[in-house]
Amino acid sequence: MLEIENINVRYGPIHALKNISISVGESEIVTVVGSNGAGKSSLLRAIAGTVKPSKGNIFFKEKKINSLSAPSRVKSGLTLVPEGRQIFVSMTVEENLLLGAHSQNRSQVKNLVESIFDRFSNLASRRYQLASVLSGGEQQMLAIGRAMVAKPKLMMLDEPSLGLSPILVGQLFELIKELHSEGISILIVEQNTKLALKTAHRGYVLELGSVRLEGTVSQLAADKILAEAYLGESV
Amino acid sequence: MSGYLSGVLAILGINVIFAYSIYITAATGQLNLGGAGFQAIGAYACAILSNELGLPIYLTLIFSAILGGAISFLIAFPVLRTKGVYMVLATFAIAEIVAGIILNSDFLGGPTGMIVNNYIETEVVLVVAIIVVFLGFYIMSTRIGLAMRAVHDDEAVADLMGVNKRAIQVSAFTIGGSIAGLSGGLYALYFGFIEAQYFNANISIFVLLYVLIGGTQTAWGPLLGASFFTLIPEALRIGDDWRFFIFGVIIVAMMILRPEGIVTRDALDRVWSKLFSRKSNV
Repeated sequence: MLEIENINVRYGPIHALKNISISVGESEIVTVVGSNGAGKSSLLRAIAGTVKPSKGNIFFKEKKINSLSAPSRVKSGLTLVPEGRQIFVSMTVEENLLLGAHSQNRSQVKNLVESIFDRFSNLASRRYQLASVLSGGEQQMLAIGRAMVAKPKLMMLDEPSLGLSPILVGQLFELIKELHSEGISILIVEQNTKLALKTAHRGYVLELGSVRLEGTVSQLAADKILAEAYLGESV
Repeated sequence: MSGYLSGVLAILGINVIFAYSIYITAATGQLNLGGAGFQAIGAYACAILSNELGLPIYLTLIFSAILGGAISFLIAFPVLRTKGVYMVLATFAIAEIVAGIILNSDFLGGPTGMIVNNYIETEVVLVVAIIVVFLGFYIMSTRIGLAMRAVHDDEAVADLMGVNKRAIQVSAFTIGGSIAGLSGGLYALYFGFIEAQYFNANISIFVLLYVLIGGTQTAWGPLLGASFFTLIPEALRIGDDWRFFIFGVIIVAMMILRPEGIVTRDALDRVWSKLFSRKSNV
């Protein structure tokens, strides 16, 4: 589904990503974990097309997408739920969803938006309210709903659990599993390493812009360095 | 209708149309301080087509809008490479270039101006103003309008939603230029005389203020802003010499009390909630 080959991202003198190669298969949940500044968000931005890699290739559904703009990548089925939700607070809940469906045919938009309201009843009851009045959990649902109406083949989530209560985080990861069961491939960047490894099939550990570890979640969970550094377990 | 009232209504109509030209651009987060330049293009196009080719009024107005839009489209690409204050300065410079060309052109009447052979009544201005207001509301109610608001609020996130921000910005700038050209055409036909000195920096600043004071968040903003700026100074005539002082105080008070403009989405949402009993769960 997604193949990243040796991508490098630079912000001026800062070398944020160094020869990163990762992949996400059909109907797979893959997580990228790492500490702050490891380059996780830069990786997602490069895949989404909002940051241009200085080197390397990105393939999506076996097509090279390096030169595609971010909107074209959305149209091809690649969506990103950005860190901090980034919903449009001056728009209503419905308008946020309509905007998410911007890349879809006009005839499909209404059904796509209604399908989100059918799924999230609390969003339906706040349909005409400004998104600014939603709680953190509802905002995250809206952000995911907004990505869903773009009919993604691969959904990327950047720190989805950020600022949510443990109960809401649990519900959120259940939702991610549901989306996966519906055939959407998932790439999650997460600081909550335990939960990310519990949900994903495979994972990568980024450190200072490079892949430090990779493997199935059981391989990663068994790794002493990861356990010590990210799972808070002294070995 | 008295001559005075008719004149005020015609100016109101032209100002409302002009305000929508700047609003459409501002709705995507771009401030155009060159409104007078695009209005001048429409006014002079209308005057020349009337005087030299003898075209009927409706055709001269259509060509004013087309020329305003076409020039805006060409200018949009370099101008939209700039951002914030640099874009404000770039659009301001364009208006100055237009004024400079007119002042130095004998064909365009130079500093002495130009008489326009055709004439329109106030009713025509008002009908066109109503059409433009509806057009403004219609554009903002479509998915393009939604995309414009998204680009205004956060370009990067709009990009992630599949919105082609450059296409949206160029379209808005072009539509804005077209409406400004139309307002210029109406001005030329209503007043029957145009000169470069009228299309000055003050006009560009005032029309931007109509939009900013009215509010850029909804399509009500330019309508209320232009009405406020046109009608309040007239109403304050009873204050004789003090009227501009009082008007200045009112503007400062508005900026303090309503920094987001007279009409905001939040305020509108509260009004709709009350009118249609959409109770907020906040």
